[in-house]
Amino acid sequence: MVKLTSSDGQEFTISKEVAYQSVLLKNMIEDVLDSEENPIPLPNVSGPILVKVIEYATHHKDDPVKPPVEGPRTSEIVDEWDKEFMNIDQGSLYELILAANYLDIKDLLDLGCKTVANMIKGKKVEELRKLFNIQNDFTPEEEEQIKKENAWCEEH
Amino acid sequence: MDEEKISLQDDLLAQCLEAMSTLSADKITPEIDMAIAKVEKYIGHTAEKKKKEKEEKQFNPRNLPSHILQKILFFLPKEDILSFALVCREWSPAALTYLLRQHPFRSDKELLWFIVSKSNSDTFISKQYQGLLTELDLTAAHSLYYDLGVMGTVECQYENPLTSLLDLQLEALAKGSNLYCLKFDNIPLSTLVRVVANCPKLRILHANKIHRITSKEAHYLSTLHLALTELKFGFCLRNFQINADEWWWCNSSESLEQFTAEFFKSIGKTLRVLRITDGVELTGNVVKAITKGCHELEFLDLSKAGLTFLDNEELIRLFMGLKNLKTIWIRPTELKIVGLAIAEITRNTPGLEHIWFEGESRHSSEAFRAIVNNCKNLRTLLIRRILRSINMTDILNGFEKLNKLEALDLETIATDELVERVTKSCPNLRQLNIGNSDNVTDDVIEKIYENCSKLECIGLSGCKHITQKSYDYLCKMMPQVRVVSSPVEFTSTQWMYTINSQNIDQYRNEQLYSGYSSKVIKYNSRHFRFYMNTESSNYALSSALLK
Repeated sequence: MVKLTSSDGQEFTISKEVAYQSVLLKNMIEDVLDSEENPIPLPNVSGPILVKVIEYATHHKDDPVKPPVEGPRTSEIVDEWDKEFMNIDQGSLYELILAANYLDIKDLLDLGCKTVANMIKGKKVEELRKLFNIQNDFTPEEEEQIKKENAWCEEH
Repeated sequence: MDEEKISLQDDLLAQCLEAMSTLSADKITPEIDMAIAKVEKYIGHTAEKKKKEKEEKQFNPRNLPSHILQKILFFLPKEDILSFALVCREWSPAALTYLLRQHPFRSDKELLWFIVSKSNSDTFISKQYQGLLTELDLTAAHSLYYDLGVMGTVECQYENPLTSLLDLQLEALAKGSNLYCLKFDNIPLSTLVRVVANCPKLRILHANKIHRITSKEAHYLSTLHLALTELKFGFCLRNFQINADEWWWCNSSESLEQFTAEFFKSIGKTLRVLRITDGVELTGNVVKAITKGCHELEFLDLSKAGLTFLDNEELIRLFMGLKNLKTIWIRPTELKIVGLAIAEITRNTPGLEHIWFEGESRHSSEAFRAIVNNCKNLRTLLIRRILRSINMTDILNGFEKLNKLEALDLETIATDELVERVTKSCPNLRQLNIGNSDNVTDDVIEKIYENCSKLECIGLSGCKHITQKSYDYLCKMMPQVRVVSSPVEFTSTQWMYTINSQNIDQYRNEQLYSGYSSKVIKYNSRHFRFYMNTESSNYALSSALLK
């Protein structure tokens, strides 16, 4: 078993199998001998998010190693469980992505990024700004310039 | 502490509000009503602010690290990426860089032509373009971003010569590169040396304002024996420092002279275009190096070189060995006795096609006569100050022989008769300046229309006796001609530049053809330019396809 401490001081105990989903934890456990005694501090991951991460890692702990996907890449999420799992608010989504990035869990990071990509797909710029609550900080001229210079990508 | 105060204040106000709400309706005066409204507004305001702060603390998608943005982009179809780029400044760079990598030329065998847009620009070079990059112009670049792979994109400020990152960047870029043409300003010699040492295919080098010259590097540069065909070269003396450290070369003109001479000698064999810019003093030694080493020289621009130390004989000697010279460009502000030198030069190099001498001369008639008699192939003649002191009969007769002229400067000396004779004997004229001449009248316009079918540009500034009517007539009858009516616009310098840039392009094309035994078939700037609009940065990338 492995003990983890989240940024807000909560302690979690998980099996090595689950922990090994994270490259970061795997390296840490292999480097530190008595990880069962001393909890591993994760100052970048909050308790609620760590719960989600553990949920994901537990569900996928028995997955076979996936071969690299060939053909055109797609943001489609095939697994129904994953789809349901990602049904969270935007704030948690970003935190989850950052946590997956920090803990180095490739599949979870991909899943998070795919989810964001699905949110973006087919939307207009204005809709995107609204969706992500981002203020437009371009001048109209700058916007025009970018559009003009990159017009090629819409032609092909 | 302030926060505590504010929250205490808010609590108190909330309590007041609550208390006031318990008042019976008849006791509420308009004043109290107003006060309540104010307090309500204030509390609403601060609550909103708090909410906002909380949101910001929580997370803002704006601040996603760029590698995560890149990952999201990875899953997006191409048509959504542009929308992504337009959301905000933070998202834009990742998206545009991503687009750059997705660009179709990535997989094609293309010749990349890298042009930095002319103002406030940063230059971005992705590692994968390294082998394709053949031309790089950093003279207007503010900073260079070069993708160093493992280290990520490293930025270096171009105007700051002390940053060693620039060295790193350019050095890495040059390694194994196909760079054919490289232009930069304001560069330490150490960087220059390391960069050119890594570019075996380099043929065109523009290095202006070289500074921090050390003798070791200077020596090393001249041992490289670069196979350059075009060199534009100058020092930045402003940045020279005297330093006790032996690595620093002090600003003694002797050492600079020695370096220049050695360098010219070492690269002379292949050089066809030499343009010397500020900071290079031509001395007897340098002249010797040029004449002994640079036999192939066709284009010599000394307009900004220091000629103070040269006497007339040394100037003549400069041209003695340069039999293939086609263009000379000299502005000898200090030399008053250039006339005899011109005469001598034209005798030595009869193949001259373009002459620009700016400056007075004591022996103008001799000089003009020599030009007329020796330079049968002359295409450009810009010697207005010399012409000014020659009598009109000589000039009139002289131009009969120069029938291949394409560009001619007759500012202040033009007359109706002269223009008539010139236009008749030089049917190929493309550019003609007759500005500020009091003795030209409306008649010349008719003559120009009759004789100069190839005219592209005419200078008419300050011609008092040419009426608006003729001016309009010219514009109407020869719509292809650019009529320049302001003296500022038609200075001979600018003029010479346009003519010379054509020449240089011609050399370059020849070199391109021979160097790659292939032809540039497509140059479409619209498709190959990218802009990046974060604060001051924009990238511009252009490409020309190779067949």
